[in-house]
Amino acid sequence: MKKIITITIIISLIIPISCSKQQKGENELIFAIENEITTLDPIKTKHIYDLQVIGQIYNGLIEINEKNQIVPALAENWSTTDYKTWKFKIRNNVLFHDNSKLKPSDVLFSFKRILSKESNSAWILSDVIKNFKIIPPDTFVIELNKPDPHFLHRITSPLFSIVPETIKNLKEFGSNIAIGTGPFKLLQKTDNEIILIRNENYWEKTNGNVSKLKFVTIKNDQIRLSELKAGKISVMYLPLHLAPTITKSPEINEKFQISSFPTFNIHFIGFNTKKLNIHLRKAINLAIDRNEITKIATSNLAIPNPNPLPTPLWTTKETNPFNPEEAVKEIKMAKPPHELQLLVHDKYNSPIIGELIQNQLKKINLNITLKQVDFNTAIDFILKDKSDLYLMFFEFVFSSPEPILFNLFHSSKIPVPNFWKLNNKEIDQLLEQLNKPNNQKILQEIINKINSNPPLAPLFTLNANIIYPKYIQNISINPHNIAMLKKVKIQK
Amino acid sequence: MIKNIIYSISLIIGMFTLSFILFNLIPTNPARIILGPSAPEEAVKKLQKELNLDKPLHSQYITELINFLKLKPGKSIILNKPTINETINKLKNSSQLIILSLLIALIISYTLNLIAFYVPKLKPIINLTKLGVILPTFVSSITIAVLLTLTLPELSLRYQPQNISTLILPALILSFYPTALLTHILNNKINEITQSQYFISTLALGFSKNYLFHKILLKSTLVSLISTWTNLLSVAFFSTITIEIIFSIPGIGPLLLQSITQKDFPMLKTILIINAFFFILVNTLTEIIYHKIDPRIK
Repeated sequence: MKKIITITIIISLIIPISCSKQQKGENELIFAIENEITTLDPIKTKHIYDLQVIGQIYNGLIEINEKNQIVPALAENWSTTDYKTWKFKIRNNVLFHDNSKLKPSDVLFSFKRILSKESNSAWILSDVIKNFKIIPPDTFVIELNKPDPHFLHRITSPLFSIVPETIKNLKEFGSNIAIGTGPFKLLQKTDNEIILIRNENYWEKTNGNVSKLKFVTIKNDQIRLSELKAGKISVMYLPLHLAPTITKSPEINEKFQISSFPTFNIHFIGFNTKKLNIHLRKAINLAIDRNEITKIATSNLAIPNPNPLPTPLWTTKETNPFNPEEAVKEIKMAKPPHELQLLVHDKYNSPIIGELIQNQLKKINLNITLKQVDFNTAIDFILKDKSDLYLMFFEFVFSSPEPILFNLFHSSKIPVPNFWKLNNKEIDQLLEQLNKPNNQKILQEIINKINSNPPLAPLFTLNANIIYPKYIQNISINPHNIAMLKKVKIQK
Repeated sequence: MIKNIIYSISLIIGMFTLSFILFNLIPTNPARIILGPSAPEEAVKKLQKELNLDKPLHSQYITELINFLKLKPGKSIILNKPTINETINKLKNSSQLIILSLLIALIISYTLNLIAFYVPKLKPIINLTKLGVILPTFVSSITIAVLLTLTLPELSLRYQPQNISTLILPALILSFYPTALLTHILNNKINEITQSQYFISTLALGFSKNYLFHKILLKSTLVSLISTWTNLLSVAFFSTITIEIIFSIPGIGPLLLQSITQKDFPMLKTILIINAFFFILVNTLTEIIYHKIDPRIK
């Protein structure tokens, strides 16, 4: 009998689920993300989740704010006379997290590293850079192959962060070690939790009061939300499929706030231009009701967008050129095949958007079937021309229209990123003229030409939507989707 | 023993070959995945060359197989880290969860059978465990997670490595199926033995219930319990994928899933090797234990 009692006691000790107490440090901010952080090395990452943390630990030469304005970071100022040679004056009061002083040689090392073989983002700069050099005592120079007045917008992403030269001897750099100059420094990294603490030696004075910043991985959306409600996490991205219930919940509206920030994330239907003639592409473009798509598939947390550029870079008065009558006229001229196939993937509510498009096109007597594959397989299908239409999105690393349009539509970029294999000499010539300081007219002309013979039907620009308790203030996200947490104030 | 080793090696090579074939049926390009959808084609081709993906399939297979047999699986193309370290790290987390869940299963099945033996009226409680067989893990885990968040909002469902208690709930859910199986196997064996002439005569000799349960019934069921328990290890390895994803446990499941969907072949290869070694080790140990318990088993 004694044994039975002992066993019962043991079981009763094991089975009750412990209520783990969250350490509520005065100014602790816990940011929940849905994926594990794979690396903290800026040149090796390719995930937005990694960049979110990297953006807190490191600085680039320049950065962008939430309004997409370039702001100085490690470069105090910059100058150019011919748009070909760019001179950056490096701040002389900046300390890395290991207390070593930032030198122009660190900047040179970082940029050479970005272009090296081990870098995943070398392709972004490799075809424009001619040379780097240092002019003592504190100037770093980038020489370009051709003049480019918009060059600064190529290096605003945290992918171009500055690291100290000393990291070349650190094997663990990026996995357990991260040394930057950013507002927060790495304290501890485990598989599903990254703890950062405030960098007291940060070069810029900020009003923020977050002393400890945690990034935790919670893969399940529902669990992430319940952790937020229970106060165990402070901030999370709003999952699109939960948005309708969350935005209507009185409990959430009372205690939490949802903020939306425009990003460079654009969603569109790509056309297989070999299979779909111009009338058919125009018809689809006119038959799509972008307002309905953003309302149903994103709970209005996106901005309807008929242009091939994300909203922070290009806006037009007409955001929904929905015209079913014109679409019917075009479809009559198009003589479409009996049925078309639309490829959808597994991210960002793609299947729901696919169904909405299917219904909208049915109204102009165009039947489409949906084929769902995972995101990586979808890319492969697109490259091999295996689909008639496909839903896809881009997260641009450039913060100005010129490199985006050039990469998407210049014939030299076929097959990628010119997925639609657009080969139009007139557009090519216009794209080559974009390297001028005042190019608004050319930009408008290019966009008009693309919209008149559309290789894609842009749908919307997705906002970065975050939800957090009302006692957290000054939280903002820049269009690269990087939260600017140095200014955050926690008022309890 | 030599026979066993040859059998194990051929099994591993077979697994490797099958996974290589299946893997190449997935129409994705790892170099494209690494560089992203907007990287230019030249950059992708350059990376393909570095990763040996530009060579014909048979030559890729031979190179991969040689490296595989040399136990040099290389670096993960997605995480850019040595695959061995990463896999072992994740395996540690998964093993903790699996072993904890199987221990829970063992304790519950033992307790239930003990209760049923002492108080035969309570025998129907054993049937309750059948729910564990009926409910698949992904249903039970999601249902319980949602119910708990509604009823106990203070409870944290997030796994925290420094707080081992956060592993108990996932382990408990993972133990549903093993509990059901172990309870019923133990119960059937007990029923079988209690009806045997040998047991009835022992009973007539006036031994205590405690002695009968532990020294006679439990001892006689030990071999089948151990064999079921080790078989359940492999079942738990697959069920754990869902649990690990739902409760954000950085285990082998999400890593396996990621390596398949992102075509990280070096990583998949390492997971296969380590898993295979793990199972071979467990099987060998089981055989040794069998022999110790019952020397008649060869």
